Amino acid sequence: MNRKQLIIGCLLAFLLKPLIDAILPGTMGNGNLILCLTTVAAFLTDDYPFVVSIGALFTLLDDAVYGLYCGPKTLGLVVVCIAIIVAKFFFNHENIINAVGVLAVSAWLALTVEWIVYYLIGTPYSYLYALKSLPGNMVINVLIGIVIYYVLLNRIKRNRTDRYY
Amino acid sequence: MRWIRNHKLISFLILIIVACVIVVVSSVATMGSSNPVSKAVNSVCTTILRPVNYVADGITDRFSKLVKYKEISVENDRLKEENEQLKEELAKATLTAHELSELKNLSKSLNYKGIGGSDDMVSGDIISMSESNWMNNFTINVGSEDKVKDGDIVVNGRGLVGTVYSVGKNWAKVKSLADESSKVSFKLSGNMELIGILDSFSDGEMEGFMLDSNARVEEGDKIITSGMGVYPTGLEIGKITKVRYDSDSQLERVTVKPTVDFTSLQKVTVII
Repeated sequence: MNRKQLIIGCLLAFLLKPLIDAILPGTMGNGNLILCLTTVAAFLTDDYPFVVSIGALFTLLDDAVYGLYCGPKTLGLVVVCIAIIVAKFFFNHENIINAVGVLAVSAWLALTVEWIVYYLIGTPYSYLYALKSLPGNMVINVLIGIVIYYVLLNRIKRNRTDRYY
Repeated sequence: MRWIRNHKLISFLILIIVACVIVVVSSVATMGSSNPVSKAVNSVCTTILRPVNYVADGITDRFSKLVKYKEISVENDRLKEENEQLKEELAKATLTAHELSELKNLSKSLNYKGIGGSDDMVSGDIISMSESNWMNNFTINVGSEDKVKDGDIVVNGRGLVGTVYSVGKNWAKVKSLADESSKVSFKLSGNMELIGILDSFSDGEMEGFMLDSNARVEEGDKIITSGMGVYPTGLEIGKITKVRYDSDSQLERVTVKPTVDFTSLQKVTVII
């Protein structure tokens, strides 16, 4: 994923959010396309400062338009990116099972950080109540993330073949 | 400085975390998105998102009609019946022109401010809800150009939804009743003399107490706003799901589930 693709992807994810909300209404959770894109980009590329900056910028926009306060979701995304950078020292990133694990954990971690921030601000919701929306969000995030991951991984493989064989 | 030069990535990540914390703190200090930068961003985004929302509304509408065809048909029959009953009740309850003018004069002399009619209300579509889905705040597509202002009450056909906490030119953010931190006074819809106060909000449910320790309340009783405080009288809040006697305060404590289903909200009305 190059820089241009990431910006366009995040912009589309932000603009298409109401459509996704409309298609997936109710209690099952609506997924977070910006988080998916940033997670996969951080997992597959080494351009961390750019990926984190773009992800944080669009999540901040999302917070400003849809959130109660600006920043909690952004902080969640930054923590997820840091966790991925650390995880890449231990896991092979060209492995679908690892990708599924990272996407699932990123959904949980983002929600947890967001809840901690809101808890410190004084939200009347318990962590268990917040976790109610996690399964739906996790499934949607993993499904979308895997599609993005496959598209990007195939491109990387093709380039490598061209170069080395 | 040398450490920063040698650890560029770590320095960058620390910097971005500090920036995020500053944004959160300033946002909380300015009560959400009420600062000028957020308002400007919100106005631009809402304008750009308007056509997308229009398409999204169309999809939701058609999809729900397809899925809920049988349900809608049954509801339609029920509503027809209810309409007939209401027409009869309306005919009985209609005031004569003379009585109405007397009441208007009286309310003018008492300087009474209530919900006057359609002029005092504006309807709006929900642009989007918080995607995390565990908080019930959302953004609507009406704002200051429709005379909506901070603190306005938001309702829908089922009852009280919440209050407006941030307004822009063509958008407003609504905080649900279950997210409120202020106390709400209520009365039982079956017995208007029984008054109580909701004083604690947790996990989408509300808890409160009856002012009269001998009040007879039962599970399933509906509660409405009493008119004391910011909410006008008669708005349905929810149903009592649990009643218990608190021996410490010697009061009857009640747990209330809001009538409004926040997950399926599409349209709301703001009382301006």
